[in-house]
Formats: sequence, C-alpha cells, structure tokens
Amino acid sequence: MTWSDEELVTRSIGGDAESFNQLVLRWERPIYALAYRVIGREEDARDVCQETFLRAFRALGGFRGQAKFSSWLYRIALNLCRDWVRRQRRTPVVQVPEDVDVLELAAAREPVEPIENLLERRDLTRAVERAMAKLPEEQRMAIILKEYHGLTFQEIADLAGCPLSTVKTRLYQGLAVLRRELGKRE
Amino acid sequence: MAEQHCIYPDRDAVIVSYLYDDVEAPDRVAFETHITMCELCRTELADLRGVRSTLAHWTAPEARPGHRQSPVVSRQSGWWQSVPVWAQVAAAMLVLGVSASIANLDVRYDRAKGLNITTGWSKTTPTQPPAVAPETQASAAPWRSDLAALQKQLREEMRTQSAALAATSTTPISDVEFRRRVRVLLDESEQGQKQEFAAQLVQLQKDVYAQQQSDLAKLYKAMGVFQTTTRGELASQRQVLSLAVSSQR
Repeated sequence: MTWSDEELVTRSIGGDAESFNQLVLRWERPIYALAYRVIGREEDARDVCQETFLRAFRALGGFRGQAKFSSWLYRIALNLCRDWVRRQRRTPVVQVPEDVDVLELAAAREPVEPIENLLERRDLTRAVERAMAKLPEEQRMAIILKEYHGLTFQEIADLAGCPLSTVKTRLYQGLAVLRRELGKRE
Repeated sequence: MAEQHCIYPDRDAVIVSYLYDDVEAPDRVAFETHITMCELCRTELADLRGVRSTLAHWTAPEARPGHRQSPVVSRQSGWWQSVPVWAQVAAAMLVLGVSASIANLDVRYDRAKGLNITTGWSKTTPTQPPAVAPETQASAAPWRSDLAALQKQLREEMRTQSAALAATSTTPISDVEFRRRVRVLLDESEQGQKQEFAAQLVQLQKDVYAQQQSDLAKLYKAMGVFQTTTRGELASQRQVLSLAVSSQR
C-alpha cells in the first residue's frame, strides 16, 4: 500500500521510523536536485539535502499540515540554500566538475549513443549552467521551482513569500535573460 | 528599424501563464487570437518554448550510491539492512561459528609455560598435570581468580552476542522487503557500472583529444619545415635564374 506524504508524516510523528525513511526515499532526489541547481556544487548540495531532512525530522512535530509536506520540505531546503549562498558571499557557482555531466549522459536511455551526441549535450548543459548563473537569485529560484519541480505559480509565491504576479514577472524576466544568453551560442 | 511593441494587457504574465499551460480558458482563447495577429508575441512565445526545451537538458547529477540522507536510517538502522537476507544469514552463521569456537576459550597458566590461551581453533594441547599444587598456584598467582572471572565474563558476553545474532538473523522478512533490498543492490550495482563507463568515456575523450593535439603539433611542425625548405629552394632557384638572365645580357 502506498501512503500519502501526509499519512507518512502522521505515522512518523507516532514513532514509526520506517515511515520517515519512506519520505526520505521519496523526496531526497528532488531536494538534492533543487539544492544542486541553486548551489551548483555536488558536495554542498548533498550537505544541504541531508541537513534538510535532519531539520525536517527534528521539526516534524511542528508540522501541522497547513501546507503540503513537499512545500514544507522545499521551504526548509530553500532557506538552507539561501544561507549557503549568503555564507559563500558570491554568486552561486553553477559549474560542475568535468566528469559530472558525462555521468549523466552515460546514464542516458540509449546504451550506445554516439560520442558526438554526448559532447553536444554536454555543451548544451554547460550553456544552460552559464546562462542560469547570470540570473538574480529570485529569478533563478522561480525558474528552478517551476521548470524542474513543476510547482504551481501559487506554490512558488507561497515559498518565496511574494505575490503571484511577482512570480510571473520573475519567470518572464528570467526566461527573457535565458533567451538572450542561450541565443548567443547559436 | 523601429522597435516593435505590443500593448496586450498584462502581456508578460499572460505569456508566462500560456507558456506553462496555466491559464483560464477565456484568457487562453483571447491570447491565441492575439498571437495570430501579433508577430512579436508569436516569435517570443516560440523562443521561450525553445528556451524551455533547452533547459530540459540540464540534469542534476545522481547522488552517490550509499549516501542516504535519512537521519532515521543513520540513527536506527545499519548498512546491513540493504544486504540480501541470504547474505545476512550467511554472515550470521559465520559469526556464530567464530563465536562458538572462541567460546571454547581456555586460559591456563603455569610457571613452566607461562600464560597459555587456547581456543577451539587451536590444536588441543595435551593436558599436563600441574607442576605446582593448586594451593601453591593460588598463592603464587593472586591474579588467577581475576583471570578466571574474566574468562567467565567473556564467555557470558559471547553467549549473549551469539544469541542476539541468531535472533536477528532468523527474524522473518517479507517478500516485498526482500525484493526491495535486492532492487537497491541491483540499482547500486547498475549505478556503479554507469559511473565506471562514464569514467572510461571521459578518459577516452581525453586520450583522443591529447592524440589530436599531438598529431596537429607534428603536422604544423612538418608543414613549417616544408615551407622553410620550399622557400629556400625557391630563393636559390630565383638567384640562379637571375644570374642566368644577367649572363645572357
């Protein structure tokens, strides 16, 4: 039987450790991906991800179900990402080590993809990373949450603590910058 | 050329809503009607769709296998939970065997041979009559009672551990859980293979690139030598030719 997030939270609060493990298994990948895209460093993204679940676990008793569990988790992760960015006092380095994207490429569905395609895709990935690095933090987060995590405009607004219209504006402006930056490589 | 403008109300927000397919039906119809007439919006929409398509290529790397984030896992479970049940049973049997053999621990002391500790794995040493009477031993080695107590304590602890391990290893496990653990192992193995493949791919790419650079360097060097030689030959030929012409005059 598949439990909903909220049911698993209730069971976790009741002392069922396995339920919280289920939540971790369900959400660790999205949270890690979010942290990685905001921070741009594998190791730090992993730390943020781990810290997110640790904080969630500690604060589980305070989760009242006003929001979805995922939104609550995203909020914790985003706050940690912001703290990380402030601690670093620099623009997030959206730059992966040499072999990381190739690992992703190697994990592609096609087992024998020609190396030209792999290299082309790697270049594309790097172009996206460079373009994303040029966005202000709010625009980048809005795009990441919308594009890669499928959050609704309202959910992003709740997370960012801003009006819905602001979210749309941030998305539009961010996409316009990406359009310009990505257009340069053509 | 004059810059184009579009005065569609709340244009940016509508474009974003339309782009992400999150727009009310009447607004959708209105905007779709508009873009049939507005080239600027049509072009921008197409470009932004292209941007979204490009963004889809940006994938986050996989978290390294074995790096589970759960604070509960780290606190209340062990790595062995992901090991298949048959391996757990085998390990438990092995530990039981070792424990059982160690449980035959025998600690002896005599003046001639000193301290002698034997286990079930060791060859049985022929029992020799004590060289000294027990009373004398006891008086000569007052720590012997401590040693005996230690021996007893060790045996107790090993017996307790063996019992605990046996209980753990025989805990029934559901088929679903067993399949899940096997799947985790398979996934990790697959991930490892992918990483190995990727590492080899990177190495191959580097090797090919290095070889290309090396070949190009050789080629440029050879071309340089050839050009120098050719220029030298041409100069000398011109010199001979001009000498011949001047001699004819």
